[in-house]
This record gives sequence, C-alpha cells and structure tokens, in this order.
Amino acid sequence: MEVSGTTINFENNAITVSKKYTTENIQQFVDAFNLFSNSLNGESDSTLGAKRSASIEHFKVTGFPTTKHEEWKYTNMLPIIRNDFHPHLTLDQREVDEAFIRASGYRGEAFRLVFLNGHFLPEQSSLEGVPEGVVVTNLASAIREKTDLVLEHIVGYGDSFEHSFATLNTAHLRDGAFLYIPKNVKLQKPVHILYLTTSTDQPVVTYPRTLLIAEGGAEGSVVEEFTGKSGEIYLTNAVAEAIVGENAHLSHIKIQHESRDAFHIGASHAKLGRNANYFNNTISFGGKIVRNDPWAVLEGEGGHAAVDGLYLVGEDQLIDNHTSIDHTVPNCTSHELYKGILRDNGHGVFNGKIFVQKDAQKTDSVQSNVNLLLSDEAEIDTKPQLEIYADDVKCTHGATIGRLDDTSIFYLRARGIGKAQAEQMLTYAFAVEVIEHISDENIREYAIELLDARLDK
Amino acid sequence: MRDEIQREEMLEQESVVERFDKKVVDQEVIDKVATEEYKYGFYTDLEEDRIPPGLNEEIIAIISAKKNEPEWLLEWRLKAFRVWQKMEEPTWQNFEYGPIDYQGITYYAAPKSKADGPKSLDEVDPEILDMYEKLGIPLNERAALAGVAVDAVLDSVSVGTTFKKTLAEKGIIFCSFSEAVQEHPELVRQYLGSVVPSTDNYFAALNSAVFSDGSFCYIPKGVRCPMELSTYFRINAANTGQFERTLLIADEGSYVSYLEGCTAPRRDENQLHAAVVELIALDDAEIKYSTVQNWYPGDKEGRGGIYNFVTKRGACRGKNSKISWTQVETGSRITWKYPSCILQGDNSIGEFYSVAVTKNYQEADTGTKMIHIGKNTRSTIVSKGISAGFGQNTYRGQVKIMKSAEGARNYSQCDSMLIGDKCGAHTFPYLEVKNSTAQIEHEASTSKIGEDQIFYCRQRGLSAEDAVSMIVNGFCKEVFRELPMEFAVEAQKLLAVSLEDSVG
Repeated sequence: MEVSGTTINFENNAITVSKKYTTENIQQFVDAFNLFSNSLNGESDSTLGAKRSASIEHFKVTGFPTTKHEEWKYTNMLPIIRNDFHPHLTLDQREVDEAFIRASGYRGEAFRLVFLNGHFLPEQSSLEGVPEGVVVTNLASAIREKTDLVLEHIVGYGDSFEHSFATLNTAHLRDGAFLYIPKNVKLQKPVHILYLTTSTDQPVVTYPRTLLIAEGGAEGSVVEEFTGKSGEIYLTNAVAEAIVGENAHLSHIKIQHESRDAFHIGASHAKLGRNANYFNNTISFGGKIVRNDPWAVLEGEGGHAAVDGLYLVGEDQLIDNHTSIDHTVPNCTSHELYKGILRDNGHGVFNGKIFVQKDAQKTDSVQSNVNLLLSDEAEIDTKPQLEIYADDVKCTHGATIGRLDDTSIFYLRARGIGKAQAEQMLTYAFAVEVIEHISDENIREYAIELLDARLDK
Repeated sequence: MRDEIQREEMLEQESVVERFDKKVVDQEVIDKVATEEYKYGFYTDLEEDRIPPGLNEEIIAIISAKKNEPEWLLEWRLKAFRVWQKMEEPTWQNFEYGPIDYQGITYYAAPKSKADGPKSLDEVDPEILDMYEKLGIPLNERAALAGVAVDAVLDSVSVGTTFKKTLAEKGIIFCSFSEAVQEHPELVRQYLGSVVPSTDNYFAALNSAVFSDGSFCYIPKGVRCPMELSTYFRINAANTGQFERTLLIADEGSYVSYLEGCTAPRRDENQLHAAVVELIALDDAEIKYSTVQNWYPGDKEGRGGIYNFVTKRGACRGKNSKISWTQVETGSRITWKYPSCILQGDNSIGEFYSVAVTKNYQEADTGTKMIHIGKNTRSTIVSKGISAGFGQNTYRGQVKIMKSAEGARNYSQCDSMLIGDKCGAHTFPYLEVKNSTAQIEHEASTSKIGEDQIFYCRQRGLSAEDAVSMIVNGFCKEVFRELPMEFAVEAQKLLAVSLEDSVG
C-alpha cells in the first residue's frame, strides 16, 4: 500500500511524503482529537479505543492528501482544512431548534433517526413499530447494547488508512446510526437517517458514522440525508459501512443538500455476500466542496452491485465522486450510472474504478458517466477506470461530455415553449433518470422535489 | 488377443479425441505463445567506439565534443542535466521496474568507422549492412523497390541515410540529427525542445542531456514528400542505453509520412531506451507518424528486455494542420509512452491509433494525450490492447479541452482482448473539459477472445492458430488500415508471429 510505504521511509524520504500529503494545520485536528478523547471518560471500549488511537497515530504521520495524490488530483483540500473547525463535544439543549428540524429533510413515512451537530436527538426521532429483532438506534447505544455485533463489523474494510478523512472519522468514532435486520426479515418502511448541522458561535466539524447490517435473506432500504442551516460554514466528515449478507437486499441512498458554504466528505463501504443485492445512490446538491467515495466489494458469487449517482454543481461548487466496485469472486455483476449537471462556474469530478480480480471470471460490469455542461465557466474532469486481471469477463465503460442537444431545444421552441423552459425541461429529463432508479416512491418524489427546487433557480 | 487390439484401438481413439479437444489445443497454443522466440535476437560483433559508463557533466561534454557540437547545444544539454539531477523518477505508472543504475549505463557507443563517419552507403561497414539485411530493412538498392528512404540508427549513431539526393531535389532535408546540427543549426536551434522542453519529464530531461543521435526532417512549404521516410533503430552493444531524438518539421501546406521501427539483441539485463520525438505541423501541414516497435521483449521468465520509456509529442501549430500517430507495439519488456498532440491551430486534427500486444511478462502503459486549444479542433483515439500469458496492458489517455477550444470534438475507443487467465487489461482515461460546446465521447470494452468465433472458424476447417490470427487481425483492423500499406503487411506479420496460434 502506497501510504504505509511512504510512512516507513518517512525520515529519509520526507520530500515524497510531503508532496502527496500535507501535515499543514493537522495540529488543530490532533488537539481537537485530544479534547474528544478526554471527553470519552472511560465510555471507550478498549477495542474501539485501540482503533481510534491507531487511526489518529496514522493521521499524525500522513496528514491530508494534496493534489499531487492521484486520488485527490482535482480536489484541493486546503480550503477545507485551513478553516478553524471545532468539534462539538456536548449538545446544549438551546441549540435544538425544533421548527428548523421539522422543516429540514424528508418527512415521509419512515423509521427516523435524527442527529444534530453529531448528537442523537431521541425526541425528534421516530422508532415506533420497529419489527421484533430489528434494531434501529444510534450507534453509541448499539456499542453499549450490541457490543459484539458492532465490533464484529465496524471498521471492517481492508485498507482503513487509505482515505485520510475516513481515518479521521474512525479516530472520532462515537455516535451515528445503526441498523440491524436479522435473517429473512423484510423491513417494510425505509430507515431515514438525518444528519443536521447548525453552527453555533464557531464552525463545527462532525464525524457521523453509519453501520448497516442486513443478515442473510433480509431486505431493507436506508436513506442517509445530510443537510444544515444555509449560509453556515461547517464540515461533515461521514463514513458509512454496509454489510449485505447472503441473498440479502439493501438499498442505500444518500441525499446530500448541505449549506452552500459547508464542506462534505463522505465515504461509504459495502461488503456483499453470496447472491446479495446492493443498491447505492448518491445524490449531491449542496456544499462548497463535496467529496463522495462509495465503495462496493463483491465477496460472494452471484452478487450484484448497482452504484448510481447524480451531481448538480452550481456556482462556486466542487463536487467530486470517486466510486469503486471491486469484483473479487466469479459470477458477479455490477452496474453504474453517474450523471452530472454543471452550471455557472461549477467544477465536477468523476472517477469510477472497476476492479476485476484474478479469480473473478464471468464478471459482467457496465459503467457509464454522462455529463451535461451548461456553462463555459464550468469544468468537468472525468476518469472512468477499468482494472482487469481475469480473462473471461465482459466489462464496458463509457463517458460523454456535452451540452443540451440543439435539435431538441429547437423542437420544443417550435412548439411555443420558451428557451429557458425548454432547457429546464431537458435538464430535468436528463437528471431524473438516476432518481427513477430509487424504488421507494415517497423517497423518489422527495428527491425530485429537491431537484426541481434547484433547477428553478 | 482381440481384447488387446480393442484396447489399443480405444487408446488410439482417446488420443485422437484428445487432440481435437479444444481445451487441450488451447493450452498448447497458450504455451506456444508464452514460449515464442524473439526472432531478432542476434548480435553483430562490431568494433565499437564507446566511452566509459557513468553520467556526469564531463561525460556530456565528451558526447558533445564527439559530435563536434556548437557551444549552445552543450549548454542546452548541461541545463537539462542539472534539472534532471534534481528530478525524481516518476512512480505513478501501472507497473514496477527494477531500479535503473544511471551510472552503470554507457551513454555513447558507436560502431567504429572512419573519422568523419560514412559519407555514402559504400562506406558503411558491410557487417552493419548485413545486419540490416537480416532485419529486412531496405537500406541499399532494394530500398528503391520499396520506395522508402531510411535513416538507420545503430546504438547511438546514424549509419546511413538512403535516397538523400531524391529528397534534396524537392528541398526536403532528411538526415541524422548530428548532421542537421552541423548543416542546419538555425532550424535545429529554432525547433529543438519547442514541443518537448528539455525539462518536460524525468526521461525527456535525461535524453536531452545525453542524446547521441537521431533523425531530423524538414519538409519545405507546399511540398508533398514523394516517399515514406523511415528510421530504423537498433541497440546492438551491451550495457548501453539508447537515447535518440527525432525532430520533424512540416512547413505550411506540406505532407509527410514517417515510419520508425526498432529491434535489439537478446540479453539478460534490461536496457533502457529513452527517446524523444518532436513533431511540428504548421498551417495546413500533415504529418503521419507510424511506429512498429519490436524491441527485445525479454525471455519467457521475464528476464531481460528493453525498457522503452519514450516521450513523443506533436504540435499542430498551424491552422488546419493534422498529426496522426499510429503505433504497433509488440516488443519491449516495458513500454511506457504517450504519443500526444497539442492542437493549437484552429481546425487542427489529432489522431492516435494503437495496437499494443503484451505476452510473457511484458507490460505496457501507453496511450495518448490530446490537448485541445484551438477552435473546432478534433481528435480521434482508437486503442486496441491484446494481453496474453502474464502480460499487463494499460491504456492511459488524456483528453483536455481548454476554455478557448470552442466546438472541440473528441471520440475515443479503447478495446482490450484477453488471451489466457493470468493477464490483465486496464483503462485509465482522463477527460478534462472546460468548454460547454465541446463534445466528448469515450468508450471502452474488455473481453475474452470470442470462443464462438474460434469455434465457427474451426468448424470450417481452419486451424486454431489461423482462427486466432484472423480474429486478432480483425480486432486490430481499424488501426492497421491507418498504416502505410507495406508496413501494414509487416505489422500483421509481426502480430501473427507475436501471438502465433494463440487461442483463449
């Protein structure tokens, strides 16, 4: 692994490290970690404690990636980390603005977990009628009550240090959302996880952590939603992990509409068992600098992963999607569709990796990235990537970049529709394809509402 | 007794069945591919003029002095060397290679000849001519039949250029780089390093410091070069690197088609080939640059072979200019190069057609860069990768549309074919777009060689070998048809040799 290689040679090879990583301003994050660590007061489980300290020790050496790092080539982290972010260690009840909470996010039928500035709000959550055996709760309680189950799966991905921000999240692992669906249980209602951020007197950084476990034959649907008070500056550094058991079926949707001045870094990691079916859909509207890293690893034969995404990038925004689908066993399929709309001086980045490992014969994988450039100030950098080490596979990828089709606009205008409206209609039609892949009707409608509101502007 | 006969018959039948069992044939074929011998691995014993190994300013001064170079060129080399010393070897590539001992390389090795070098073909050492004969290069009169003007570079120096007179009548300059430095210093000085700056990258900087020879070509205004121009490179000496430079300038309204080919003897150690090629196309000019690269690929265990780390770049400086790269890469232990086009002039066109074959332990990380700067610039990329044995084949390409490139258009297609289950095929396309009027399409696919197609051919009486050869040739057709006719035939033969009888 690149990172550990460079850390070993750290002393004699300082230049190489400093080019790909920067330790600028890390002291602030380390100090914040120390404050956080002290506030744990023995709440810390020893296993988790070890994971936290290993992560912070690793972070101290590498720091943050720079644009010299291939995975961060187009996204400069400095504007984020140069902010003076403070962890939000305790929640003051005066911060809980009920009206604001109720007005934020999806309100349709769902089991709901609500978090404010990283803290769980039981009163705002609704968990009535959770079927027996199913656990929907905040992660801190799960750590206390389902310790073994949590420890078995948390930080379950291989190279946990590969992503500096995910490493930092693990160091601050304390609370977040937890879902457990036992064998063969089909959850009828979706689970809605709402992460809200409102800055108080100083910019806040939160480290939400989501752990989703669907056992063999289980079925469920999860929506993670990230939003905050508009105009506020804060950083959300989230990590989600999903374990999809044999024959299980998990839909994992992420709707992100943070404040346009806020920063959002989110990694998710899914592990798929035999004949498992995992659907990930990442919809990004908000944020000033946004980075999504959805990863899916197919570990059992017959698995299917669908990784979709939509990014609408407007003025002064940068949205970066780095997806990865890893076929490690034979006879799996994967499907990926990412669509981007770039407006004003927005900057979009897409990097989709598909790995087909040595033994993963009979893999069938399709990847597509389609981008709509609506302004000459906008920029898109896309890199669909295939790495294939097996021969009996069928893999294709495609990427296109272009503007709205002139003849389609002409067709609509010839029928008396104004130019602006025609463009909006076509843009909507372009974007809605990704949202239509969401199977839950209410959530689909909600995502369309958010899209409409943004296209109107 | 009857039983015995029956058993014998059965055994015989079994072996017949076995012979026709496709799986068995496949395995044989795959093994054959893996053990295919390199046909150009001979070594010619020549008297050599070589300087001691090592790299420092003194060595560079010696090379420069041997070439009787003007002061400015020595300064240019030294400047590149000083920057190179501060550079780090790149590590982003998708393969690993053993450390290169830059001090262990001999940077200048030349066949010993008369003090001033050969003046005509008659003066060239007959042994060298024999060697080129073996390679099938029409260096002598046979060239007339092939209609090709050849500049052959052996180790570090150019050994002879054919057809000089015919070309001179048209005003075309086609000579070795050293000769151009002496006779056309103004042209060399104007264009050298103008496309690939001496400090562009690690290997280009190394080349700029120590390059020993290469080809130079200038096509004057409005001239259509009457024949294909060609350079043949060969590394003969042991422990040397080959660092040549090609500089090709097509003045307004001219046209030239240029071909380079390369081979090297079999050796157990890895030899470095770090060349630089610069192309300049002015208004309405067109350059077609074709490469058939067949450096020694190493043995079947992956020992030895050439490291082919080359920087190739063309600048479409003028309006309506066009640069087209075609490459057939079958050799080298590692191929690492990205022939690129800078599309600066309005309406200029860049093209890249590539076939890369990796077998045994060969690795290739190759592709192109298309930088669109001018209005209505167009580029096409067609890349075909074939991996067999333990070969790893990577396509890495960049398409960059700058803000000024109104109406730019790009189409890329990258297909990979896998033969055997231990090889790999990888695709890394970078598309960077800053103009909304641009239209970019990229498509890639990876698949196994078609079993159905092989079955179909075999059913109709074709051998497995012929079937594969046919399928692979069909797979690469889009690229081969871009090659000049004679070389398309050569490339097809080369591919057939490379993958002889292969079935997946």
